[in-house]
Amino acid sequence: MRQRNPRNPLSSSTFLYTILALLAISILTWLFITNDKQEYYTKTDYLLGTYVTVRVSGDKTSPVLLANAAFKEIERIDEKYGNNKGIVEELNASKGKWIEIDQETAFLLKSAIEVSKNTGGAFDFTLYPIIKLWGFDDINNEKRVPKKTEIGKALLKVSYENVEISPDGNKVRLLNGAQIDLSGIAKGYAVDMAIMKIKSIDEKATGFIDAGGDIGIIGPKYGNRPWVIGIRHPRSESADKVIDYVYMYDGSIATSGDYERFFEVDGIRYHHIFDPATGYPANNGVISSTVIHKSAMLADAYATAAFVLGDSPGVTFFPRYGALAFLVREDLSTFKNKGFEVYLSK
Amino acid sequence: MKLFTRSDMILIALLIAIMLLISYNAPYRSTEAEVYVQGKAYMKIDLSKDATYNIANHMIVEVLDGKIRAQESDCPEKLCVKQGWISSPEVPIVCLPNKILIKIIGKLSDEAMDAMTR
Repeated sequence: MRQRNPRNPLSSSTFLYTILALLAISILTWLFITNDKQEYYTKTDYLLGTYVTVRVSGDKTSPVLLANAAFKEIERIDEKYGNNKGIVEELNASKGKWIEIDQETAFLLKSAIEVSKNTGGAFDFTLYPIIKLWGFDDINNEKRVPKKTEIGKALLKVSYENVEISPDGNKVRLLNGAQIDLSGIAKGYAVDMAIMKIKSIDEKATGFIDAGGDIGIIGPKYGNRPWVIGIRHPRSESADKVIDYVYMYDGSIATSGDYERFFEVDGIRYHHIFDPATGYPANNGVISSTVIHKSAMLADAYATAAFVLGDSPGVTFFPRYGALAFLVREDLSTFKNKGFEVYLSK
Repeated sequence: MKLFTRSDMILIALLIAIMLLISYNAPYRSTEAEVYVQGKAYMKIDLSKDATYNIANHMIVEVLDGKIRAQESDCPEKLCVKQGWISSPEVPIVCLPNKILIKIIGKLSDEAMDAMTR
């Protein structure tokens, strides 16, 4: 037996207290460091055909006020550019006549045309006749595989070149029976505009807006940390499984995947991202495409284009337009544009 | 001599309570835990596999759904067992009498996902 010596500094009791004191100090320090006064307010609502989440913290303004302002802006865009209402409905029923448009609509249409041009037509917002044929224009519609002749006929109407904007930008007309669908661009546009709205009220506000997976960063987490965004694993039973993480201080990210909306006939999966060249679901070896861009609207549009372009002809030219792509192939191997890797580490 | 006095107990209980409070805050995604016995690395535990492990014949550790806990321990107070599940690297499982420390590694707290693009 060891003899008890109360003065021995290494006695059990002293040892224990030293450890406890150190623990207490480290916990208090940790609490002090992490106990940031900034608080995030999160609000979720069903808009733009998806769940929209705004997480925001203001510098001088109440985050509740900021979130409400953001939602008001998103609601406005949903009303204005949603399917089967507003300007989209008016244009699709216009039968080739000139329709007057405001500056905002001209900007949106011009942006869409530009992405179409830049991607050689891989992104095309005039696919509506094809989408309708397959039944993807409405969640409640019956999905079916159309006949080849039906697709060929509908395809005649499809081309972004059928959208003509007058030189002064005040009017637009749809040629050759073209019909448009702005849902591929309006969701991201709403995110961009809502962020602008928040910034106009409180320049130093931070947070992010997530519109069904189109995510725009308002500002870094607590002003100095990146937001951690998981890229959904395209082949997983659980919806929260992630194939990789990106760390974002600013900018936007969007993903297109064949798992989002699809139906199966005779074991073949027919998904909702169509190839404007064929009128069939795009099938170029890619099952998920993610794009980082300064603008959420363009991230979304380029993500769709990347899915269609797939492995060949591929997306190596994307960085020229400020877009960085991350593609997942059928065998779950990945392709990244040069530069994407900087987002994969903090 | 007595290893634990009454005030030792109160202190430990308080500390554990604080740790638990912190650990309640957020779920963390982690992949691996490191086990130290007597200050030396003893083994690594894969948190993606549901299983139980024997630690130096002192403690039985259980892994479930990416979380880890001390299921049984031969220490007198079983504070490590009462600590329950952990899934964050900030809060290790500590067994002072056996000098066992279980710590989740690999991912820091802000590694927890904020949003998902899909």
